[in-house]
Amino acid sequence: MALVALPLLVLVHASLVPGGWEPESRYTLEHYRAVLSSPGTLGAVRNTLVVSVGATTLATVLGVSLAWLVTRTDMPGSRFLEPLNLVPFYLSPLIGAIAWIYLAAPRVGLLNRLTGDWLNIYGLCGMAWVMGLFFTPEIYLFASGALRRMDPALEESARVHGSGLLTTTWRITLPLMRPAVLSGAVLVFVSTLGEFSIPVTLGTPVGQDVIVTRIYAAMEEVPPNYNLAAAFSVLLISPTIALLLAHRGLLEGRSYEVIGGRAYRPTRVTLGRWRWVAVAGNVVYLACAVGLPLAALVAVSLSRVWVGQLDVRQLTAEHMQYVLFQYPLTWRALRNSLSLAVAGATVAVGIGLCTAWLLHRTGSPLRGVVDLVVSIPIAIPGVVLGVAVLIAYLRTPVYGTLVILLVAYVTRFLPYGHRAAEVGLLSLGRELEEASRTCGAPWWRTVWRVVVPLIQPALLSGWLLLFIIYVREFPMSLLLARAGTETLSVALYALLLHQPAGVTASFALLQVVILLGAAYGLRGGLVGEIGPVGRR
Amino acid sequence: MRDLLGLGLRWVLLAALLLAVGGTVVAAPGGPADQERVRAAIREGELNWLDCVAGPDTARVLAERFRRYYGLPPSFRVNHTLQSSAGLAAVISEEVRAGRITYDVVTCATPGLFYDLLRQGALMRYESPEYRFYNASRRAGLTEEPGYWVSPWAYTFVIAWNPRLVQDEFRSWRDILKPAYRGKIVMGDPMRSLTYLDSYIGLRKVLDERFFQQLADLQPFFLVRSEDIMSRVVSGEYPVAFWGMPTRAYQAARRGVEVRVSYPQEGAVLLGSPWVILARAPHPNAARLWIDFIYAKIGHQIYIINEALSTARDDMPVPSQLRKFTPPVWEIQSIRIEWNQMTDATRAQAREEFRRLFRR
Repeated sequence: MALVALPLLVLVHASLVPGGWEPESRYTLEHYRAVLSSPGTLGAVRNTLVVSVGATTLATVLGVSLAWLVTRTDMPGSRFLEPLNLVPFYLSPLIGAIAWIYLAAPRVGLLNRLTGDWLNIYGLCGMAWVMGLFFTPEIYLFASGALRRMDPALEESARVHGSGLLTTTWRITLPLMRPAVLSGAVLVFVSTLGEFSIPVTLGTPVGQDVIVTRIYAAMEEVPPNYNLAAAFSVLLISPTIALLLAHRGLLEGRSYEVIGGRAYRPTRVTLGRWRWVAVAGNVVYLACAVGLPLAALVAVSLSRVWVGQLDVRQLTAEHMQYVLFQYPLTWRALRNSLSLAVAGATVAVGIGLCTAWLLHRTGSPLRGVVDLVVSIPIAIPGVVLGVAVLIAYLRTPVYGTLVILLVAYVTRFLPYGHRAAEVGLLSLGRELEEASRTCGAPWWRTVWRVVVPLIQPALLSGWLLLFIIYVREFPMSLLLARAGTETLSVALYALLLHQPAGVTASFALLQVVILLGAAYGLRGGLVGEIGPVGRR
Repeated sequence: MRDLLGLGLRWVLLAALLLAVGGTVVAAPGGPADQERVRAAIREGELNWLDCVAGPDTARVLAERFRRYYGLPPSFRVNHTLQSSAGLAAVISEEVRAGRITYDVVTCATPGLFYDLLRQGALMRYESPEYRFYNASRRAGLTEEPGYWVSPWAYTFVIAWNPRLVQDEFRSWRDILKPAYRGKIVMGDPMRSLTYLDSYIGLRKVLDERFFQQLADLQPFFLVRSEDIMSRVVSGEYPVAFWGMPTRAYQAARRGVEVRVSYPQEGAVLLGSPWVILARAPHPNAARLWIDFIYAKIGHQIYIINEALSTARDDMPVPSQLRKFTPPVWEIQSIRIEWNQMTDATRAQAREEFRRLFRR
């Protein structure tokens, strides 16, 4: 709780003092007045809601559909498509936005050159489109985890009793998936509220600011206006708290337990002739989210100078050579990012398991508070939490070290660890734990020997999700990294500042390769080995 | 092919010139005081340098020459951090407020920040003997505070365009106000950058409100990073840049791409980029040595050629290919700004006016 509460208190305090963040004898609401009376605030709020609702809807529809197709149908090539559906997540929103500029910028976008210049990636639709594409894997991870754990006997019963495919899906499958999908959608919604790289790339240049870019604008003033940014942030997270309360209310009082003490094997729905339509849909998604953006990055990376089209006479590998062998930050940043990702994901999942256990397996009076506290950080934009962490830990020895980055990472993304454990626990019946306790095992041994193995896929999904997030994390790293503690994103940003598009694209591709390699290795080595719970 | 050969030859000549000048200056600085400072710097072991201009390649070359210049051991580390101007301001402000300084030397074209730091007593007083070679800086009106900083070089934001797509010439800022450029102009964003804001304040001295209203009607596309702006010009996404950085055009030329720049007849704002030492710098001796090195001819030349900046050092020869894009400050028609009288209120007022004119 202290990990989350400290920067939050700093944030609230900074929003109420006249200037700076030192202890003050008086408090004021002048920063809130300034935010609410600013002419651009209303537009930014409207833009934020439009983009976040649009992106969450798109991601949810795509994520649930793809998860169902891959895990519960006989769609051809599903084993091949399954890991590919996660690739957009590795690209990171920033890389995705850059790639889509190469694809759909006015006049020179590769797709515009093919289709007659009718696409424009800039603006609200472009932001929602790219966010939706690149947040789909988060819903997909939650939904596929739930589908794998789901006992298919319920669906089979419905089919035996005459329900069609759609009715069974609508009446049985989707309600059973609701906790996972809802958790994923809530996380995606609040993530899009705080998403910075896409709006600043695709919205701000055409005057379409969202709340988080307004916050960043306050922090770009000289001297930075942290107080205004803090007030804006507090106003941003307030409705999110309401959303989380509503979310909790929806989950309470419903039973979603579908894992019992007996083993089962999920069966797959036969799609008939629709199976090829399903493949085509999946491939179109992958083309939009992976194939085309990667192709654009490769094209830019290989071009000596990017002039809006690939000129085979100007092909070169010099940008990639520079990134691999000359750019001084490449290897240091890689080492730092991987260290932080492994440590951060492990700590966050560990804490998440503790908090989820506290919430769902104990009668502690602190449950309500803990639920809120572990959920709130995700609603705080990375740039703002970065500043809050910086202020909170500036006078400590961790400042300027990797530890402060680790603290920020764990704090900001603790909800991912918590939700991953929570989803596992919510789907897990208590009879096995009770059997263990009845046999005399203490609670900690029950958790370690019974609960953790049973919810391992959910925990590993959460760990993997966090690992990827940490490797590509940008705004907090930018604020907290110092000489010697740069991460991959900070190194990429330095390239963005000073190098041509080809070098940036090459580094982005390198980052993609690292993430793909890590994800493939981890999923193959960990998740793949362990497999779904029901197979054990 | 002929163009490529020509370009290559020019670079060979430039490298030869650099080596020649470097060779004449590299005879290490003498004097017992210097030697004492060098020994103290070696004991300090490293230097932390925060910058918003120099890229990692320039940093690597400078660090290597710095060690050689003073005979520092290879173990002496020069830690270079690149930040945006806003990020740099944020980092320094936080560290000063917390009384926990990790950086030794800082450079950026943000005199407002440095005056703030000066008022807070956060800057170390140091006058490098090299400052005497910067009379041109004073004459050009670049920011200067005796005892604390002198601007060794400057950069400007002017009009840049892609000649493959735009055949016009831009002698005046007003030449950009053509309906044909609607939706085709990329522009630096004063709402998110101090340097563009300072340029706006300067240009308002020679261009009226009506000019900017007409410019707003052309629906410019706003960006912050100068490299990003130039990339859009090069690709043709936005073929004309209002406030394009000649430095980036020069760098594009090094890659074989032609981007033209024009210094309009009304003038441009010269943004001096001084160096300061922080008062509680963890490596004060290394910091003083660094300032002497960077203002000396060798350090100065490495920096301005690698980053393509306009020199303000009196005796600095400027290669012709660099001069074409970034001439010395004394050759630029500049719009004067009284930097020490620029306040937060002045900037806030200008930002508000810009917001109104451009409906941001």
